[in-house]
Amino acid sequence: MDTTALLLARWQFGLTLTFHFWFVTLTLGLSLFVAIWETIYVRTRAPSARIMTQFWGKLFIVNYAVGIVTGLVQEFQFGMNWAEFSRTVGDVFGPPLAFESLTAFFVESTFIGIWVYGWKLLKPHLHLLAIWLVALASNISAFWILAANAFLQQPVGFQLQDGRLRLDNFLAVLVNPFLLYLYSHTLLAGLLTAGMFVAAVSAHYLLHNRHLVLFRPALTAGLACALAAAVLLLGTGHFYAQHLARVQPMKFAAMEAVWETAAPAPFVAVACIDEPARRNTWEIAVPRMLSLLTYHRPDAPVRGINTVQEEYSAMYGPGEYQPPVTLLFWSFRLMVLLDLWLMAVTAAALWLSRRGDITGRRILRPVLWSGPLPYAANAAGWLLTEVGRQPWLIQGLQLTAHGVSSVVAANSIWFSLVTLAGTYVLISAAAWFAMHLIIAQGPGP
Amino acid sequence: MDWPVAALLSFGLLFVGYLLLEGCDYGAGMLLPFIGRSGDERHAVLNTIAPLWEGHEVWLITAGALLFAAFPAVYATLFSGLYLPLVVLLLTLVVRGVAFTLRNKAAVPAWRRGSDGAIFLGSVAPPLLWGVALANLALGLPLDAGGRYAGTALDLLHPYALIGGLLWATLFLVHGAAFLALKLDLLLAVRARQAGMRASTYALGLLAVFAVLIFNDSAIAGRTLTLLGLALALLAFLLCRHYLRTRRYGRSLIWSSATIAVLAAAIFGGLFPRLIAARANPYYSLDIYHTAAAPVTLQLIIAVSAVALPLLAAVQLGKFYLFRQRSSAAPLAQKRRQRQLRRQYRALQRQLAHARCLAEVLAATAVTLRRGDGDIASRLSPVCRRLLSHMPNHCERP
Repeated sequence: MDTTALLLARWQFGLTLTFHFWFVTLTLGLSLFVAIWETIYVRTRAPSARIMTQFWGKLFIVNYAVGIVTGLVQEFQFGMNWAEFSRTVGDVFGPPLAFESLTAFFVESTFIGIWVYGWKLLKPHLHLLAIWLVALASNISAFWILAANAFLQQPVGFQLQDGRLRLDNFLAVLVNPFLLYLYSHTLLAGLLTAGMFVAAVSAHYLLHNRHLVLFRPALTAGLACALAAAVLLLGTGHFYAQHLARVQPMKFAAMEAVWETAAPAPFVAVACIDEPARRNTWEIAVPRMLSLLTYHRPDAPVRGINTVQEEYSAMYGPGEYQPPVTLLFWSFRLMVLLDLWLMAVTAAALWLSRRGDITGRRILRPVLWSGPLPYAANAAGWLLTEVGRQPWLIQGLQLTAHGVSSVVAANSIWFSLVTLAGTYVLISAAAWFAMHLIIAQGPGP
Repeated sequence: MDWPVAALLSFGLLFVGYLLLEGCDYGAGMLLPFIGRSGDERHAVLNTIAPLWEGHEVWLITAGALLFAAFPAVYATLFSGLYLPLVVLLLTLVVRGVAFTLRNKAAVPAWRRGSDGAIFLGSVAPPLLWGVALANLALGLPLDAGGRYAGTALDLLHPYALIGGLLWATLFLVHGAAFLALKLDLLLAVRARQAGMRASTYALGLLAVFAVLIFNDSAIAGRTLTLLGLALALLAFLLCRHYLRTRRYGRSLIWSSATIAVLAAAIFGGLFPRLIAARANPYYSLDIYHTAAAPVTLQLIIAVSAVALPLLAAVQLGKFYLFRQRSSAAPLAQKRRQRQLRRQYRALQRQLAHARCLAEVLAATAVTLRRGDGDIASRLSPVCRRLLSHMPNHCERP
């Protein structure tokens, strides 16, 4: 096995996933915003609602386009870089992807053209239907993709037949408990990203004293959406982590930097982690907190990395089953802190604007600068999900090293990695420039 | 029911659907610099496919996902074996897709020229690459005993494959020209027809050479289905050319579609029941029966596609009807001029408002100096105050 090729293939996958998800998360939530604005327009015929629909719609399609083309890379990549994985798991992993295309993606990309170019060709109700179909389809599409991802985290509904996974029960794949946590968490992340995006863009206009009548309600809507999502994210994150402790104890122990099994287990808030020595050099910990958080009992035992490592060695044969602890520990903390910060900022801004006018308030600047923070949280979350599963590609069934294409040389992957990374930089710069122009130009004809 | 064959059929429908639909877009993109000689004309050409291309590209994504689910081993071998061509394909598709969407978001000439260039490149490369890939499939790929690709990237550039690449590029060019001739008006349609006629001469020659070569020596050589397919493709293409010459563009488009579909069918039909033929040792070939997924998977996929595909095809046709209006450059130029005038008008209005405000401030200052009370602000009108401080009611006394 070529370790360089493996490393490069992993980098390429991570890069594409992060990049793809950045744009897609925004469209998940923003499509709903656009659909709601258009609903208001169709019901009330208020010109301001139409202006808002078209303005946010423009920003939506820029992000949508980048999302769709990187999704193409994401799907081809399984066969290109992870051929052995595809060979093993296609029976079970392929159907959710195929159904995503057939039932959601198809609808989405067919109706987006109708929506963008059909303002004059369709009656308002039909036009409204188009954007609702786009919004619903993009959220359903996320369901299918996450169903495929949840299978990698917690494989269900299959049989092992001469080295290949055979689909046994598709319903089990769809009602995978992991999917429940993953999907709700992701949808809320989409709403948080879109809410903060809407709030930050609106704050920009309010700070510049432009289009005050249009953007005061938009700011409130964005803030309210972001606050609700941030609060709910803590809740889903809590139950998600509890589920991780059950099905992916290694990931859980690594993100909490728990090396030895302890009952009761303390919650390590900050730690200096010494990975080679397999311990924390120093830490600030809250006694019993982790047991309480994980099992809702103050003295429940929490399995540590070393214990799980021994269990896995006994179960799957000798080997290193430990993901990079420092990275996971800090990604998790970054994600939670960002969520708490966004909660505080949005709550403060909503409180200050309770009398209806927020124009000229000091809080607008933090709202504006917090706009990009959900992106960092999203990247940290996916890092946790995907790197936390290492060294497994399919938890307990296939190691990442065994899933990579055996016939693709490291040189080829160098080429694809560098060119794809360059292209991502190019298209995000282009998308950024286009959004900048749309925002500078402002809503209206 | 023979599930693997049914799965192959639905994959084939999706893939051929992709070639036919996206073929129009590729053709239009390739013809972009030749038909559209000014920015507005190029805008008009792009308007014919702007509402459609995303819906067309999704056929490819779905075909890929279906192949992954139904024939995982074929998907794995094909995608890892054709690694470098696929990377180039993806890069060009990514840039092209973004350029389509962002082109008209900025009225900067350099931005539009750059986007047009990206669209052109992103429309030339995919047909060439698909041609190379399909010709290689027809030739057979070097496979090892495990059904993995055993050649190098250079092995894919076989002379047949290069001819195949040119053939598909020119076929899509003619296909796109017929589409544009139908969708554009006046001079632009005339140019599309001219370009299509010129390309069709080359396409005809390439098609004949490709048919003879492939029928003599390849993995699909000597099979009746191949012969029938190749002959029908030639016939259909002659009809397409005939209708293009006699300016019956709708029929021409139908026959160019037939050519593309029949040619693809000839390759897959010739391979049947194999999906990838091994070049050296025929025993290593991957056929649909040995690589198919579990029956449950196949049944699920076929059930869903049997419901979804007809619906989606119907929506696609509905979309063609919805956007049936011909695209032309004149209204675009007019609109641009209108926007320019509106901008100038707004700038003038702003200057007038400032001039009025200045006069008012001067008058107020004169009054204040006379009275000596130092209160200019309260003597200004709200309009003037808003212009100066953005706050119409702000006039606290010093």
